[in-house]
Amino acid sequence: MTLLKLKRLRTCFPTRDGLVKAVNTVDLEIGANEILGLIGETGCGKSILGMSIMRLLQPSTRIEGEIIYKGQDLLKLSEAEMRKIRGKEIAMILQNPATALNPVLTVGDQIAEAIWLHQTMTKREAREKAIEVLRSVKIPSPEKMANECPHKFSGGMKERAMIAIGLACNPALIIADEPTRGLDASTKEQIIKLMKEVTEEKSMLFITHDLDAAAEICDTVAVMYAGELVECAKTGDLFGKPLHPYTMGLLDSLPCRGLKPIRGMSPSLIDYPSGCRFHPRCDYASAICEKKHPEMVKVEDRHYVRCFMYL
Amino acid sequence: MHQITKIAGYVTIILAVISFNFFLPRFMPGDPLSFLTGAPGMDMPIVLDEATRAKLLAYYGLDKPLLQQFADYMIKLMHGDLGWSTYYNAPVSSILAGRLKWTLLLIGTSTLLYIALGIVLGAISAWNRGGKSDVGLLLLLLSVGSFPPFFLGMLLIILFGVKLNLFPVFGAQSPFMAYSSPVEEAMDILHHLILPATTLVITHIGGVYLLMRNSMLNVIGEDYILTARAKGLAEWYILRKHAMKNALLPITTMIALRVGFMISGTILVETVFAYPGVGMLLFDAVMYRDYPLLQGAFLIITLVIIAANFVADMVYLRLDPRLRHD
Repeated sequence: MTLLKLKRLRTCFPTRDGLVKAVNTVDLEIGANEILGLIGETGCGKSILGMSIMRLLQPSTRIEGEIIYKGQDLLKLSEAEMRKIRGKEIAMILQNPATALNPVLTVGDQIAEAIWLHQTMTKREAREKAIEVLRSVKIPSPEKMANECPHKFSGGMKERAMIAIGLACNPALIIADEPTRGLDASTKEQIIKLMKEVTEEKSMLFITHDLDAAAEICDTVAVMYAGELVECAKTGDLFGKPLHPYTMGLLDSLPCRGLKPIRGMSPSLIDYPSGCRFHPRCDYASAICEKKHPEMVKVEDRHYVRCFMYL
Repeated sequence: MHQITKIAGYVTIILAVISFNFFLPRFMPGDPLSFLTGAPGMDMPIVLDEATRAKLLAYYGLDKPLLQQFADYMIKLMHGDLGWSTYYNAPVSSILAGRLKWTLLLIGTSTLLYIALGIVLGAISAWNRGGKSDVGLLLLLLSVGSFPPFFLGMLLIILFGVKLNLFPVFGAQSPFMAYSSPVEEAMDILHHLILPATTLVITHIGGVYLLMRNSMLNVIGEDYILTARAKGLAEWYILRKHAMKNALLPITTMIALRVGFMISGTILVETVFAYPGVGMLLFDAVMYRDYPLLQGAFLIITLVIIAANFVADMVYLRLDPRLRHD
């Protein structure tokens, strides 16, 4: 059963240097209880994709296509209707918890305000619920910590608090943007474990450039390059048998596989290379790759790739 | 421990300022007697012979060595005695008491008004950055804010006092009035307050507005505002609950620092409107080299500025949990 479906999603925003085509063009599906990983280098448009779903981008941003959530197109909703979706239906865990929590409000209040907003209950009940949520993300002595401001929280605890804000109203879908970024190895391990636990009956879009984290938590993984998906498969298939040269390059750059970086730089999102956007960096590129833009093809059951080698 | 260092800091500042207040006026050319008796060249100068002059100097204690005078002043101050005004021939404390209420009324109302208005307008402006309301407010407040207070005061007097005859042009109360009720008295005082207060509000609002707008623009770009939006909170709620409190942090200190400027502006405004406050008194005290009165007036102003800083410290503590010590 599909919970969220992106149809030909395009997100562009004007800058001084030109129109940035951050997402161009993405088709994607997240099923109920599915954890979908979205991986790719910094600046490939994956965070913008997450923000597009929440419609949290600057007013000058143009979002085209369809974002079908539970049968309704989110792009057709009014701002007021969209506010009822945010936090309640789809929650977002933003990257960088050090700055994403308000420094002058208590963590308890920052969780409770979302609960109080979306559910009919008194402020006191919302507060108790907030403490409960803090307990569920394993914050020690949650009654006490709910009354503290974020500066009393360690990095890992701040991340837990961010997850708690996301979980507060029991949303069906969570969009987590780099939740493991900047955490040390053991804290990262704990956060991944926690996220796995709390999303047991939820769907999640897990945006990351941490391949290990993605391999550990995701059911399906989509690889994004220069604003579009280049490969999408079940986690085991993608990591066991990568098809796209870019995915292979990403895997080869892991420390356990020899730390071999992909040559060249990721392209600007203002001017894509012609044809296949990856061809200037690709070891397998042939004449056609420079001229024609490849379509996504189904190679195996639930394994899609955008490359002329498989056409 | 922290409190003790803070209090010690305040005491040091007060002592330093008292010393400055004592010595600086005495470095000005002339002395109280030369203005009391009319300076040479003025109409009907009263020429004192040396003996009378020496007697008068001794009467005011001005014949003693400077350090001795300072010690006397400090000892008297400890006993709460601010000295005796040479020009008004009255105790400094009673002169100040009569004037202080007017200054506090004028500074108090205009400060509250311009801070509140500046903060609200600055926040609205930043929240609608680049919109019509932002550009309009920016242009309006920048242009009115660049008027010097005495010039603006004179314009207001000419326009609303003389041409339209809507407001009185001098004083804090109508002279020789017998009020039938306290309400009538309050209305009369308010009537006199409006023009000088408006002058102060207009000259100071631009600064607070710009500070708040700037601070707010910084806050709007912060990640936690995005977090708040992602929760589905309404814009107005985010502005009030998440953005304002953070934006007010840098503003608090700035406002406390501006209280000093505010007082110097008040001297001009009180003089233009002949408003019987400390500012005008200070102006007279400088003109007549009235050392005790100058010291007293400066002392009061110092205390007001230090009090403003103290209030800012307290407000800051309330606003920013990171500074609280458990």
